[in-house]
Amino acid sequence: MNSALTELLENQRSGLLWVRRDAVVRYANSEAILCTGLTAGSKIRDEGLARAIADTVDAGVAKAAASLGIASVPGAAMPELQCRVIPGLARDDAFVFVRNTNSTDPSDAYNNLMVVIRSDLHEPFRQIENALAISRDGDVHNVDVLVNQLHELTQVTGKLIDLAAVWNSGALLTDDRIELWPLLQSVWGELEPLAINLNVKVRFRAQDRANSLGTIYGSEKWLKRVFLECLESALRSNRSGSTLDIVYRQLGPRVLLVFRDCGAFAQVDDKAIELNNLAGSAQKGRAVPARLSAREYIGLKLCRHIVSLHGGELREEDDDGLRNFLIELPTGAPHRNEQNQLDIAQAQRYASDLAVLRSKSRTSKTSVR
Amino acid sequence: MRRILIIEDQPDIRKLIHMTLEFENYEIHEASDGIVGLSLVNAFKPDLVLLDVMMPGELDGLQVCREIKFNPATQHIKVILLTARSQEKDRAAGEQMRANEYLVKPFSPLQLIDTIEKLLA
Repeated sequence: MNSALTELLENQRSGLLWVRRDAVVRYANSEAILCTGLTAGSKIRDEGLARAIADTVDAGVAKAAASLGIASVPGAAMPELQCRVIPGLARDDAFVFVRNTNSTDPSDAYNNLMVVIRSDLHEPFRQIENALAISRDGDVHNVDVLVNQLHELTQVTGKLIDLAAVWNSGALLTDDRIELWPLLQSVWGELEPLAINLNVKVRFRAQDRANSLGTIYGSEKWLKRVFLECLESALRSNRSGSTLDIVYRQLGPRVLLVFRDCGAFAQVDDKAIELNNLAGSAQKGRAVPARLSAREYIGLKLCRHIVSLHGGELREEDDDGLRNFLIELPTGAPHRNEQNQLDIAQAQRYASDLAVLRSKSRTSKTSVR
Repeated sequence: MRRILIIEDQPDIRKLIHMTLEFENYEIHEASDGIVGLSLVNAFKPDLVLLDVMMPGELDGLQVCREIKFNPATQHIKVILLTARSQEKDRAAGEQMRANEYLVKPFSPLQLIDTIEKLLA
């Protein structure tokens, strides 16, 4: 699509669907994807809205319709959507403006962003300015300090960009089938060097065999990012010589993953799988920073948002100075459920074939006689 | 009489499938999640299982299929996967779990019956 048109449609304050007369979506902006779960190629199965679209195209006049959106958390009611259908640019097209009647003021999100920038980016930039000033003397150590500060800043801004990218986008609305054990192994593969460097022992504990863990449906890319962020934060919080447990527990249709700091005297567990084999290097224990660094703060915000969009919850707990992360996610089916639409479509398919089914049944019974 | 087990979490879809199969001469059983479904499979060894892929719970349909097809005691049971997922990688995952057939929702009841008859012939 023409890039100017894309930008125009994307910058609408409300959700926008560009649809055909037969209620197939040609284009959905980010806000619409978030509200409705519909993307280009999807068919609107809400009969009332589909009828409003057809009427608008036929009569050339705008129509209003109500519809139901997708619940943001499991068990929550589906939000009511107010839709306004107007004739489109072409004869057989229409535009649908979608507004969630429960949506919060967009200025809140902007204010939150300004607070994050003010509180968490100010210090890194100040330190870089100081490091730049000092490094002008060409001292190698000062240059190293500058490089480290720049690295820290790129980490922080990188996460801020990721957060902005995912905040209101449909990027998370994929339904990859993700097996947990291979995902955890992949995450561990990336962070094992850090664990060795920090002298933290990591164990995996589950009720069942590791290769029979539940499956999650969602964005593999972003869920892997969540596990990477949480495990890295947990590793950095642990003292040298301590143990970090990754505990898996299936609770009915949901899984609970806990990244638990067990301290220096972890209980022995024969069933635990030790993910590394540290020789117990004699590193001095590091003090845990009292305040989250900007890199961690933005990382956690991102993780919480991603997990919540998957119908789950991410919590951080402080257990007498030991920092634990708890991630709860639904297993076995995606949280974003288009099941109502599928049920309707399946019932319609059944109804249309019913006469043939009956006829076939009568024929076979007659021939048996 | 051939025995068919429907493992599907959505009650309305389960009912529709049940109604479809009533036109034919089958003994029909139902389960609403993977764990119960698998225990029924082990208990009475149906001739065929109609298995939804995405079911909330400890086991999704592909995991149930793997348990059925990789167990010598139950590997002979025919498995038809029912799913809204139509991409090639999803079919490949079904093949990897040794499913016998793969139907994409919304499927035609006539196609379902034809597929069952073909497998049980």
